[in-house]
Amino acid sequence: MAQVIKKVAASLDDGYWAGAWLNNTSSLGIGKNGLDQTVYAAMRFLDISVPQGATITSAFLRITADETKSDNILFRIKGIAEDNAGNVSSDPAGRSRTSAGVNWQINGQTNGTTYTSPDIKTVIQEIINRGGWGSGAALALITEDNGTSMGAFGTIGRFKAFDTSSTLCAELEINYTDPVGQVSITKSLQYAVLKTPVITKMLRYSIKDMELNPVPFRGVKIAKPGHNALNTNNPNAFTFHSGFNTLKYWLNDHHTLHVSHGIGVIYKDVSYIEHDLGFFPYAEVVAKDELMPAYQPLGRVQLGSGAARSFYYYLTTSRLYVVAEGYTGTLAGDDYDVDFYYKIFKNNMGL
Amino acid sequence: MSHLIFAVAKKTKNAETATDPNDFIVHSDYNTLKIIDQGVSDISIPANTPFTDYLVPHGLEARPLLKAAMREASLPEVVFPNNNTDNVSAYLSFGSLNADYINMIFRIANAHPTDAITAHIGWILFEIPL
Repeated sequence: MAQVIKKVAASLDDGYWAGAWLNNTSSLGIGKNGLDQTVYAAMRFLDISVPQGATITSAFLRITADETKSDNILFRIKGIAEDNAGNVSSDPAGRSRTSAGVNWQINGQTNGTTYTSPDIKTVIQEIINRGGWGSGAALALITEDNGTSMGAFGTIGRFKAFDTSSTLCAELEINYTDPVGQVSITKSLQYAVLKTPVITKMLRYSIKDMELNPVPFRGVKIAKPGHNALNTNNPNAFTFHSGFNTLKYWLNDHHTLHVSHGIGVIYKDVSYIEHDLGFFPYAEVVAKDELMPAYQPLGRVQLGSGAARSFYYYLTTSRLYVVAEGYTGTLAGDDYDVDFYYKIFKNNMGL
Repeated sequence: MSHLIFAVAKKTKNAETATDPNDFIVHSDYNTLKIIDQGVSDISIPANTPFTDYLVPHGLEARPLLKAAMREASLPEVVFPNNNTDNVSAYLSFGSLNADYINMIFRIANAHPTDAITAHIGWILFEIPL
């Protein structure tokens, strides 16, 4: 569990509407004026170091009364739906808002007393989940009519703005847990550090990288000599990079096919290896018979006297088939073994 | 070994003492062949077409290592290039596979006298050397 607590930190990061948008005021008004118009406030919090994809377990807005009043105010808190919220130097009414909102009712206010909102984690989660959100971005909240009534006419609560008090102005508290993958990888690496001191320096570097750059990259990357894992994106600069898939062995073995036929026979002998993957995997096969000096990619082997041999392979979703095909010729029969050396990779070709 | 390494050994192998690269799942001294893109391209091969190059852009502006396999529509087998695949497939033959700076190049023939046949080509592009 991690926590971020931030206050409004600049004059242009809070303000409210009371017939016009006001920034440099001593208080923020929330409620309804005598014309039945909604009086709303907005506030921006800088440097919210919550990684994208984190789970928000709870979040609260705290505002401190700037006047003692008996007005009961009802309103709704929403987020400004921006990846990195701009300030509220101008009226933010037209800016997009989160679909999530939380109603809040404050019955009377006592000057200097701090009021804590209901849990607004749904609002914060929606912003943190945005595709363009990044740890350290700014987050802004705005109040609005709660959809039914914002209280009686002229019921306005007044709360301390940054221009009145940089310590009692609005405060946002976010409690969250890290994205699952990042935490589990970090913990496994820390465990590895404890168990294998020989490689500690490199692992600590990876952990530090993940902590410093939790959003752009989650995983393990090891650069080749002469390359910096933190500032290169070329996959060929890494000996290992968990952001890229690799071919993965599934089966790796030899398979012998015995061929025996008399003179003048056209034959096609087939054998197979079960892989039972249920999809078409990638495979590599080489072969060697008694005439070949070494294993070689499959194809046609032309012998003398018009005789020929062909070795090839194909796949189904459950088997790798190997084939020896040929014509024995008119001078003699054929009796030989073909050794197929195969590697089946657990990579789905998508076919 | 004097320099620092990152190594994950296979079961029953000791990462600190093993020297055979095959004893490791990952070893920072040995590069891994990283897949940078993967996909399936469907190409309709006209009837009675001799070996012809069919181009599919890869968008890399470099010449990548490429692997591919082909399945003829309606058949349950997958075949590979340079592999006498005409002996498996009813009509299509996968002659060769290549890539230039712009395209993946699949050389395919269709022996069917009257019908165009769709070739499903599954391909894998690997990292490009520095």
